[in-house]
Amino acid sequence: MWNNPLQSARVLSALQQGGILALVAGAFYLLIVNASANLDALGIASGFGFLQERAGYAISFRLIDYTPDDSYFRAYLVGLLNTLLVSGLSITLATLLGVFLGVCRVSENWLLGRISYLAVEFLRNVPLIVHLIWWYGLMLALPGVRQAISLFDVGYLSNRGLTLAWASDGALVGWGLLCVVIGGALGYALMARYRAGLAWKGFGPPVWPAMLAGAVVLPVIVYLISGSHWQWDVPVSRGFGFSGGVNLTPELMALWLALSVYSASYIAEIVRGSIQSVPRGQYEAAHALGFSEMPTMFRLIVPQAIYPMIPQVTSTYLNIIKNSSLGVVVGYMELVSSTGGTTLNQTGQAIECIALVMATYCVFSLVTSLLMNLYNYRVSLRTHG
Amino acid sequence: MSSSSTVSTPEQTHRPAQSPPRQGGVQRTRRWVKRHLFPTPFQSLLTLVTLALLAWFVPRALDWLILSATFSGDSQADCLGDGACWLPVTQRIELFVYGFYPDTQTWRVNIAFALSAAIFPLLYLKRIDRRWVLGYLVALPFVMWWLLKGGAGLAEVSSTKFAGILVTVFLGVIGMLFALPIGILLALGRRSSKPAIKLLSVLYIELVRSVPVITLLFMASLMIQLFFPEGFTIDILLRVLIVLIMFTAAYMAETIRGGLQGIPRGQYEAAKALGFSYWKTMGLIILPQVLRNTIPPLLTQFIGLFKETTLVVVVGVLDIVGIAMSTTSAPEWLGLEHEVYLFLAMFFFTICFALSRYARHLEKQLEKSRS
Repeated sequence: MWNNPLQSARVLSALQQGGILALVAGAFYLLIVNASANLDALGIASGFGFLQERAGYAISFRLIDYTPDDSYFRAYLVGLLNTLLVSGLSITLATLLGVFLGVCRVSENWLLGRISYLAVEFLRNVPLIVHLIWWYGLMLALPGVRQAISLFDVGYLSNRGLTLAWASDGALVGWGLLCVVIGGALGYALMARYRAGLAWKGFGPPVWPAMLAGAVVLPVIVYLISGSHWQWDVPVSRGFGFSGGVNLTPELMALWLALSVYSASYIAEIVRGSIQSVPRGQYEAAHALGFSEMPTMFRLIVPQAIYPMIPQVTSTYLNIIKNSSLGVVVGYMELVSSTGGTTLNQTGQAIECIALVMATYCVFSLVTSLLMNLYNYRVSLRTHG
Repeated sequence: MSSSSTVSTPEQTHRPAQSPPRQGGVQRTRRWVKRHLFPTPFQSLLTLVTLALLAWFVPRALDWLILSATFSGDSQADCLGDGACWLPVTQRIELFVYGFYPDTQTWRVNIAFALSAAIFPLLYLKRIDRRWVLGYLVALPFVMWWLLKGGAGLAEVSSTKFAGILVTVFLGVIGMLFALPIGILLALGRRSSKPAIKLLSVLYIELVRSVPVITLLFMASLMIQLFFPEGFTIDILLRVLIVLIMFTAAYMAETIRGGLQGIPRGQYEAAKALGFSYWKTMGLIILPQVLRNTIPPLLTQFIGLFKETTLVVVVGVLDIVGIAMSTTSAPEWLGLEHEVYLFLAMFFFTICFALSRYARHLEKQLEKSRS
């Protein structure tokens, strides 16, 4: 008797859910039937086989070797790497600019605070695409190669973009970066060990100088030991273009700068919010303990402000990756303009191409949220355990 | 920077500096200037450098923008001064605002703009019954649709004539108002106790949120046609509108979910004790509170959507950005990118900044009413 209404509610709920699932499945079925009929009519074979075919289009800016004779899959990889490159560059510059603007924003200096407030509000209330077309126009309006603006003779700014001196052997750059990272990690590990041995936890010398020293010293040592293979390849003007060096195309520059200034305004707001979210009692306590200004800020406030900042900054970084798809507006060959654009137009494989691009972005965001969950887990261990 | 000055009192040091006193004696002003502009040598230097930069920049900017600028004339040849040449904007202002809408019918666009703008004061007025506001919001997209597209007494206007600010407002306002109910349903679905409904909602929300809008727009322009029987076509404006609605709904669902989480359990329990069904509980008790509390974040979301509508230019819909781009590449207005893009930037800045200040104000009022 008692079970009856419960069971009927359960049955009703199951029916309801089954109905909705059936509806969704039916809709999908209908769409797929339509799609396959339409594709048959257009003479397009479905499936990802086309990725092995010859791409036949050129990509001017690329990180790996690619010619029009390579496959569509190779073109996809070039696009993927271009997306990652412009996102990485933008994340770096946006963070630097954003932290700077955010710190100015909470500054006690009224004038500086007001100006950065206006700057942040202006940057974030103008759509990214407007930033982008403006920067792109600016890049194309730069002087030609012959009148290029010289940056200390190691780089040239012209309407061909930014041409920089680079290592003559590209692989060396990778090894150099690896040395920097390992050096920094070594510096961190040594200092952390030293600090762990101190009686007063948390009051030792700061870690960052050791990291910096490691990051500088190790590459220098490796450079000296290896017998200085490093040679600079300095760009030389050759009339219509530059030979040597590495060229960042106007498209890349415009996208990089637009993404950076736009996202910097979001990061500035995060920085401001986080610093202001630290309770005033913390300042008062530091003051009562006789801490002076610098240690209060860097030992007390910044460490507390960083934890609430990290999830928000991560989502801003993810937005930078997603927004890099605006490269399609200026013709920077990233994921969307290579696979979602040219490949799609040439092959007509709309469903596959768009699915591939979307799946790639989904992987980015899955990886990010995985890392975020790991991080949140660690922080919750640290604060509660 | 605050890090290099001496600690005076915590509140003053680490909050952004307060505004100068509106009134009060010379003494007060002097104290304020000393504290907020010249507290330490380093800060003083910073202030002086900033002032010098401003003194260099502001007059030049004003001169270029207004004083030496050309506002009237017929062609670029009339721009004789050293300042900005605003002619591509002033000469084409009708194109920017109404697109290719028939000249004799532009009053309909004006009414549609006015009706859209009226939403914002409505959110503020407390005297008006909320049901009227809700009714207005429900009716508005249909009224706008009828006004702009025509039919039933009004001359029909093809959506190929839609361009400029008209498209931007059309997509923004109609997109937002249609996304709201879908967003609410998705948020409820995500918190549903029924696993199938929950799964579908989570999948949808997370999938849409993890891809760039541009890929969804590409889907609308290149892919959707494949899924419908031959001969069945939807015009591109409608397709991008659907994409913007579906996209905004996913983000909105998360905002509403945040609002739902903020409702105390007691509210649900009270409804249950009164014997309310699920839909009655939600419709009469929970959602009215959630909607009231989420007005500020929803406004912020509208700002986001308003900026996001500019991406439709990628699939060939001529919104205000599209008109601007076609203006800068028109032979008679070559080389005037800065003026046109600055106009574009100011258009978005004015609207979005005003709305964000408004959202902030409403939020403060809500906080006040709660405490």
